[in-house]
Amino acid sequence: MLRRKALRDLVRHPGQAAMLVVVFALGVVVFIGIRTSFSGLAPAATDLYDRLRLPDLVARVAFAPAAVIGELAALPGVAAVEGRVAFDASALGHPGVTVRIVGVADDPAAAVGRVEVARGRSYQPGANEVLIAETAVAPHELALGETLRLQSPRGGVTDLEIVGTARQPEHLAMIPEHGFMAMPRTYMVAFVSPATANRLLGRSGGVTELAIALAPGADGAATEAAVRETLRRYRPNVVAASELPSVRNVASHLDALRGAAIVFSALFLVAGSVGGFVLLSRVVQRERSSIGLLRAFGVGKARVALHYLSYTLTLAAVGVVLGAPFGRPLAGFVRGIFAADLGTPVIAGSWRWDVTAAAVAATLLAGAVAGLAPSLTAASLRPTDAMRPDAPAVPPRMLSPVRAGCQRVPTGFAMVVRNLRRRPARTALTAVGITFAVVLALAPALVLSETAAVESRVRAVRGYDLRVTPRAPRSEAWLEDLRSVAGVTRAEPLLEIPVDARFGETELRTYVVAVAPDSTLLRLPVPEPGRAFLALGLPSASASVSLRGPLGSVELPVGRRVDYPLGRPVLLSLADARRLLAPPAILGDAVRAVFGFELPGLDAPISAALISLSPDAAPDTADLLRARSDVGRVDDRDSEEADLERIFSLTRAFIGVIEVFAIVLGFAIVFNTVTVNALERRRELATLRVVGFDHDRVARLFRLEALTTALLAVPFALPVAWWLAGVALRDFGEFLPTGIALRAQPVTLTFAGLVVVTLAACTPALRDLRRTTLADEVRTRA
Amino acid sequence: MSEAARAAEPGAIILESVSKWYGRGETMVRALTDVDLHLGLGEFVVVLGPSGSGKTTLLNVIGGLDVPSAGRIRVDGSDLGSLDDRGRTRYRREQVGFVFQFFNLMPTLTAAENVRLAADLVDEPRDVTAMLASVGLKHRGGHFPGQLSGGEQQRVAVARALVKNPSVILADEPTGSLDSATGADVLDLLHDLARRERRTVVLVTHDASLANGADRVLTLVDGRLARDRFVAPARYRGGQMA
Repeated sequence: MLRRKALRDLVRHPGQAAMLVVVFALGVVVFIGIRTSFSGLAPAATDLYDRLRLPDLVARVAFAPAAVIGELAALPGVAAVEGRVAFDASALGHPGVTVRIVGVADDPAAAVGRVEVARGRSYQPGANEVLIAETAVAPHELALGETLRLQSPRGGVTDLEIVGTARQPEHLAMIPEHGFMAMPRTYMVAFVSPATANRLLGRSGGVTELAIALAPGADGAATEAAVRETLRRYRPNVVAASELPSVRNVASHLDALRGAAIVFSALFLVAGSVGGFVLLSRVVQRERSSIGLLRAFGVGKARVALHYLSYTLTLAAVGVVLGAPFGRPLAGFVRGIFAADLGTPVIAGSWRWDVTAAAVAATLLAGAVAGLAPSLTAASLRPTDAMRPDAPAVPPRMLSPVRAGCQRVPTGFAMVVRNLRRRPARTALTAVGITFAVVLALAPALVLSETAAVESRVRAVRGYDLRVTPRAPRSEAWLEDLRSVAGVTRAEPLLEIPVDARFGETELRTYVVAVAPDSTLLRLPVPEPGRAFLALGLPSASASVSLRGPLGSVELPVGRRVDYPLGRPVLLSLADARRLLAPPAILGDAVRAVFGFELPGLDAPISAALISLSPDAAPDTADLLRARSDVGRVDDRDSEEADLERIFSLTRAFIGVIEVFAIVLGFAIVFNTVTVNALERRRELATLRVVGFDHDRVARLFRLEALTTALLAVPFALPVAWWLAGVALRDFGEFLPTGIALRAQPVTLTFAGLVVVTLAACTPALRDLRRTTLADEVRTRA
Repeated sequence: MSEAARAAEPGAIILESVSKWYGRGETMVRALTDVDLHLGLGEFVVVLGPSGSGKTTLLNVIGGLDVPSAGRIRVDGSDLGSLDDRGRTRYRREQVGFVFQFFNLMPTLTAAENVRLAADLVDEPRDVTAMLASVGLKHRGGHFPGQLSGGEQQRVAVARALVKNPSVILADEPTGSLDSATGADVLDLLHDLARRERRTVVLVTHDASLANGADRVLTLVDGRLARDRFVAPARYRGGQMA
């Protein structure tokens, strides 16, 4: 009989019950969907790394003789070494795209860095055949049997037939060597046989990349140091597997997925708990006399507690029943997106009963937690007390300053404030629930605003239309040639040099950027000779920086810090940057003394030219430049912005989904609170109407109260959202050296949204109040 | 006195063939049937009747909480039935003071604030402190309802009803939740105010002893006005005729 009563009581609150069921159901769906995806993808990636033998270390060198392979293999702690030729080339017909050519043997038994054919077949040794990385196929609309025309660093053009697609553990995501996020529109990886790679590069008998597997139990740090030392004369860049750009990208995506599974389902379940608590508190309050009657009849405390606990457990259970079936489709959807994005194979049939069981248990636990306090309150009521009218609330002594303050404000507002204090636990829990919703809305809004700010900063700095990289090192005089091309209005020098930088005790690999002092195409402050400017994000403690370039070194005092949205370089004058490319004076002196001639050198070298085009330049100007024999590659601003836009558009889409969730959650919480409030206070509100308040005035008071509760969340939500946005963008630190700014626009918009949602949530309760029969309400007992 | 003159009499409440029913068809319940009534200013009227006789319905239609299904109610010459919700709200605000069985005080407002809440609704309210003093609660103005006894709460409710200076006070079982001594005190207060302030008081009760001292006693049976008895003016004190 009590079970029937519980069901009927829930049916008496259809809106709230339905809203809570939806919130619980969303918690189950999200938990199962995302957690199952993570549970499938994480082992999929690990399996792939194991199966394809992800190397423990990768060393990149200029060009080392093949003999180093044996030297490395002989080092203690090294289990296997694979030497390759890998280099960047241009794909003709795919403007602005860099192709990383990796020459690897098609050896299914290779000890390190195996290539696995996903579709098609493998290449024949030495043939002009190529396997394209699986994740690069779609962005470039490539198909098996097509021809990829490559222009090698030395200028030769070779046609390669695409015979298949492939996975390789170091290149699941398309990230350039110094990049930090996937750029599949401007970067792709292709695998060819070693003989074909040597032919394309025009060199043989050496390697540019060494993949190293460590022996089980080897001392990683010691072995890495030994590898560095062995390769020292080839200026190696040794990277641990976990630091490989693709591996880092996959790991950060999986981390995000794992975090999302926990955060999102927790948000919904907490919201459901808060709502359930509020609803059941109201039911217990209303049923005091019934509880007293049950207890007087001889119903035990435990049975009373279980009876009321069954309310929230029922809602959670219905949520489970409705939500669980959708978990699997969501899992498939999320897994498909991530697998396609990461290049990780999807593990079929990865339905996880343990995850489903955990989701069900978590949801029922949330329901139980929601109902615990009100149920215990109901059980602890003494029959005689319960059957008496509830004593009106008396403000706690500790709130007496608030009470004093309330005596100086209008009576209506005092009533609003005191109503919030009347059930402090409920008000606090509601504020916590709304805080969740606001954080969920504001954190992505801050992320969105930050990405927009980055885009705007990039546009502010980047004034060029084209960036032209010569095939071989060139001097500034080359700019004159480029200025003669029709449509080119301005050409400026750019020098970018990879360096090892030391800032006091801190040493890191970065690069130098130098432009002309009067540059308008890369709008940066240019230091005077003898001084270095540091991009924000570089270590700031040191007063000077020591830079070691390919040939020379400089040590310069540090001047100002520069907001450079494209990375974290050291900015130098062209003169200082060129010192990094000049051989040591002692070498020149020695050559002059021994051989009697000057060392050949390049006067005023540059690494690229920045070009601006006239508005009426022919659309194919970039192609004309690409066709020149002295031009290696041409990056156009549109392609670069398209890649940036792709990254940010994914972010925006994700944020859009989260915002929808946030609005649903916020509405559910506020709706629940407001409705319960209206139900609890129906008699009071009716009395106000009877006394002479018109409906609009009662509605104003009611809305004010709801808004005040909602705005209580603001001081808590702001810092949490700020922190969460910072965590979300941690992987984009290169773009955000100064961290996340608390911008006025997203904050204002979010809180305007909160106000709108709160006012909207009040509408059904106020409509109900309007329909209330005043005469009946005012006669009810308190 | 002619019918027109009676209708125009200040503070007069006139019910003409007022009926009120709920539902329709077989489930229809007739709460009031053809009630004709004229209440003059300053009358202390007690409405008696068994449970379900239509007492509260009568009070509700007089107070503008409910509208009659048939018939007319005129207050100060204007037809209450023709007023919309806003008009009825204005009527309650300006002309009616309610006293309920369960006090209906705002639990989060102090006694003084409960009275001020009503005072703020009208242009020329009476002084809040004076009103509390007149019901003997000047020293309890800063207390919340939860800190007051039942009798004190009902006194606050009376002060709240009177602070707006209404022409009619409608009291629905005002002593129903009080012990007999406290109930007598509250009743004494209502009598005193009605006499002193010349307010029409309509008091609904099922307790026939409360009819003592009333100017007029109405008895409802099955929704019909079964008896309308005028009583000679007498001084009422402490629930007893003096």
